[in-house]
Amino acid sequence: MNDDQKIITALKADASQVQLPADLLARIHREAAPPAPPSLWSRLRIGPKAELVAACLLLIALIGIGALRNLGPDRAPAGGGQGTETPGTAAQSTPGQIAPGTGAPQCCPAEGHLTAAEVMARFTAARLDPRISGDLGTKLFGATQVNTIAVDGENIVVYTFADGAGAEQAHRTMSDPQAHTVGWVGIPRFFRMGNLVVQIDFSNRTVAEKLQAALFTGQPRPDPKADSGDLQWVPTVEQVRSAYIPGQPKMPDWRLTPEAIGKILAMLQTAQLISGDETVPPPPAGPVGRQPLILTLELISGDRITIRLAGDCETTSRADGSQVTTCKTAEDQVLVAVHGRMMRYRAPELAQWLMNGWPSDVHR
Amino acid sequence: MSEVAAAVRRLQAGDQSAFNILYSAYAEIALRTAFLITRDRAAAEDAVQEAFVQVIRNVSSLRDPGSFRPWFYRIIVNAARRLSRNRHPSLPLDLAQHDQPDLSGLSPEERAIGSEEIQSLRVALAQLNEAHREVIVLRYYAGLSEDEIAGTLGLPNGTVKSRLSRAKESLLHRLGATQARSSGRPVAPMDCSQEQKG
Repeated sequence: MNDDQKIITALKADASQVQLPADLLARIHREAAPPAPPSLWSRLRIGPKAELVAACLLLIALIGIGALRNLGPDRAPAGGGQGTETPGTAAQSTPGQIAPGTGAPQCCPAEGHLTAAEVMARFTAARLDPRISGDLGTKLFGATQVNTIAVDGENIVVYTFADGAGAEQAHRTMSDPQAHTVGWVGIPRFFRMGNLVVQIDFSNRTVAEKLQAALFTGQPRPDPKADSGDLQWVPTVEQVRSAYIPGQPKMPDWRLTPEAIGKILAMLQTAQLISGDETVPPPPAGPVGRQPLILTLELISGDRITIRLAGDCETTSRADGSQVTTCKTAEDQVLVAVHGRMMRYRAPELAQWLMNGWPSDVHR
Repeated sequence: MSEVAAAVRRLQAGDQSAFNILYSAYAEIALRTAFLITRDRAAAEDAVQEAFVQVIRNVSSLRDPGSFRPWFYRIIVNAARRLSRNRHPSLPLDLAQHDQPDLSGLSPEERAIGSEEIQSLRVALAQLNEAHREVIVLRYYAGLSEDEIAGTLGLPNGTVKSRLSRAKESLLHRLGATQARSSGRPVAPMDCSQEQKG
């Protein structure tokens, strides 16, 4: 027996340890039709206070639209199909349809007719540079058309149905509660939007949240500064117990002076939330000698905010098939972690401070 | 047109029953291929599950039904890689103390190699790096041609050929080392840097 045969034999023997589970086929079918979230808002993780604010804003908008229609010199006839569509008025005209020229589409219409191109427009509105496929020709779940939208490195599948009832029926088929566990991270994947079912599969929760927000609002993920959680995102000086940069091992931390804390907070106030991954750059050279340099703000509430330089990584393939990833510091950008979320900001002053400015603002 | 290609066409046309043909044809070998790559049963099962779900969802994007096999293996390998990395796979250092292979399915000649040599080979296979293990498994277990492996892994043919050669060399070297250790013979050192490149 030659070497090749020996290898084949060993592989066969090794592989013989595993047998097909009896339920694998059923699991596959369940996984191919996973469930929808019980509550869209809860899945979007907006939080009860933000939901209340959103509801109030919606109410105010409805009242405002009604007032404008009644007061305007060329007001539309009652129940007219022109003008801005909102979820609350959807049933009166063309339900759920996005009226042309109304800017960002409204969130999650329950009924009405949408197209994959309109879904894509939401990603465009959120500056995510989507690419849409033609009809893939697959009539899964009875869809009349299936498109994919490549956005931010992920693929979103849009199933178009003849009507809302068809979408609803397919959505129920997809919503098998047994198929929500294996291989994923608990993120909802199938959303019904009028006559569409939109499938969004992600392995990364951060990306999922960002794209879901864009999908349903046509806007980037809400600025966390506006998040009315327990903590105002950028605290006041009085709310900060201490701020420090870790020192070398077995050495005290570098502590910021109160003036420096105020300066940092002012820089945070002007920081601009941007898209991008949470890549940390390679350690830059610095006098501390223990990098990457992370500034930690400890709040009286017990919360912590950490700030560090952001990085960009690029993976390239060599001729021999191996891959090399190179990272570099992203210019003028920082990563801020708060409440378990890490976000990327454009903050030139803060980035410069982390690079060079901090030594003059700290003491042992 | 092969039965598999015909099934792919039917599935693309919306005939869901054709999926069972593909499942019957590929599920078991896919599971075992994934297991050989990941060394983790649960990861292998998840990889197969994920791969078939991808087949259901994305088969329409496959232009040539005849190229289903490398396309499917590409999905399997990618899923296996990812799941394996996510799960921090447990890689038994001493396989002899773990799962005993079932030799009943082997031919008399294959069984004649002796369980000791098979065990040594299994240990050597488990010690290969991921890239080398993938090409070995795809070539010698899944039975893919070098062209198909190139398509599956997205590598140039020359790279596949050289990687296979180095993987096999590394495997046989490790096999020799394993057997030498068990027999108390000295082992010549190997240039590990060369293996890492492949």
